[in-house]
Amino acid sequence: MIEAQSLTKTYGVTRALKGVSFSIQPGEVVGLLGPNGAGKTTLLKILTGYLPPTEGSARVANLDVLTQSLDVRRRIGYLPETNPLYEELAVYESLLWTARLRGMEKNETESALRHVIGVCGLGSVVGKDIAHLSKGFRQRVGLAQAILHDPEILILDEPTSGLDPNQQAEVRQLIQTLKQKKTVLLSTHILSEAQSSCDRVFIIHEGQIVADGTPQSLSSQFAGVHKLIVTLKGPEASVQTTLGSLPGVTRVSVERKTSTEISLSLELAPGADVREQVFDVAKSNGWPILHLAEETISLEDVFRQLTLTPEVKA
Amino acid sequence: MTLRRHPIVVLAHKELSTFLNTPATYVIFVLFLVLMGWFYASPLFSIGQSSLDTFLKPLPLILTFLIPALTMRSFAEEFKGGTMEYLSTLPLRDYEIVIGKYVAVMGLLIILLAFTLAYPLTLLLVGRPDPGQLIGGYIAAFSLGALFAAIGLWASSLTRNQVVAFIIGFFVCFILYLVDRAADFMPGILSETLRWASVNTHYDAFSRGVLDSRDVLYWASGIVFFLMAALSVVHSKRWK
Repeated sequence: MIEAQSLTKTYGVTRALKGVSFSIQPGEVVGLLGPNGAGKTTLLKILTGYLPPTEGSARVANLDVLTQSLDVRRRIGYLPETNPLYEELAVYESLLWTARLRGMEKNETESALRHVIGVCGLGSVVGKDIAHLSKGFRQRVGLAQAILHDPEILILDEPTSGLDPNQQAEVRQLIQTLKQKKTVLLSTHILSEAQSSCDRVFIIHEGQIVADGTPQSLSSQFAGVHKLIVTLKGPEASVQTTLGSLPGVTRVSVERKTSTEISLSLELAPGADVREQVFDVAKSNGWPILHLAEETISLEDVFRQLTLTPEVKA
Repeated sequence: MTLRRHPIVVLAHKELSTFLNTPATYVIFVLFLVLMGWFYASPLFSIGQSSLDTFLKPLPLILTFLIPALTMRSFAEEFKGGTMEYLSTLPLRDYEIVIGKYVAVMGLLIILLAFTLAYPLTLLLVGRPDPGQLIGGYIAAFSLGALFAAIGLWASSLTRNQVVAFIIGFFVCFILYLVDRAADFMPGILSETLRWASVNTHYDAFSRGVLDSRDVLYWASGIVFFLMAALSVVHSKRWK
């Protein structure tokens, strides 16, 4: 549905994209994850035909974004990062002009308007000027404009940015309802969003795709180290040496301690499971365990691992 | 596709309705009509001629700043608000965007000039003006406005700042209005070139009721030139 072939984009001397290639199947919901300035927006702008790539090519719905730009634009619904809207128009007018500029038929326009107003929950503000809307409603108007012509492909640039948690959940919910019949490519820097609403995630860093997979596979792929967090009551020094000597534990560090209890983080060798041994040791020494938890690596850790440059890490 | 649904017509319609919903448009209209009314009517009875000269003579100078004031927001506002990205990702070609906006300004110009029809009407009541001269005068005024509008649109495409767009537009219009004053001091061929380049030469010919194809060519090529310039600016903004 969407294919990119070694896309490169240079702005003056800065290289925003360095040979990005991928292929997205129909019906997939793909999240483009990356820190600010990684090249997410540039990539999306190229796919919508707004910016020409410096090198490489992209095909959307099997049409070239440069030479068949008009046909590509007919098939795409696009929500730009800045969500530009005509402030002086009322919500209804803004949607109506979008329909007209897209060349929609009159009878088709009416039902489409009714549909998006319902889906995006704009019923209470249709008559209001966009200038007077809250950020959440503006975002919904932008989304309504993007889905008005019922496009096969949705490209959403940070659809939930600047929204409060409730509004974010609403927009995510909306994307979930849309994804049943559409291919969606959305960018975000909110990890939980990618984790919850995307089938597939690209992590993009400094203009390159550094990871590609389902949120789960990315987590397990990069889960080199896993940890066990233990909180118990006992003398710090002996607890630390005893637990550190268990087979499979590579390192012990104190996370936190109070006068009565101590929290330790045990780094484990791959495949090791020391939960029972920890219990046995604690029991035989009379140290009550207050908390025992395995820490699995999240998409957040993968993201940090991949996108933090060495200097920042150190 | 029917003409009503052609992207240029739809965009022109949208732009025109935006113009008519903007208070600034009415401020410019009122300013224009007050200025023109005063210029036209105050000497009318002292010179005792039933002609539109007192309206047509000061018109170019007034339009050098009123037209750029109308067009200054056309593109600058779209660039500033980011809505150019919205327009450019709709299935619209760049030239359809430029022409759609231009047609809207033409609509505004026609409305503006329609208000001044009161002047020839009063002439018809009190005297016997030459109808050829009246019609020629309006064609001249419209041609001049059309050229200035193309210049204003181009100026607006250069920047995201409306004030800068206005100043550039006014400056270029004003130069075209002034150059023939310099012609007297220039030698032969240069003098003729300057005279040819000036809007006054062609405006005066039209407003006398003389419709020469060379003048038509001047207006048409000027309009096409500045619209093409605007188009290439709009186009090139994406290739940077």
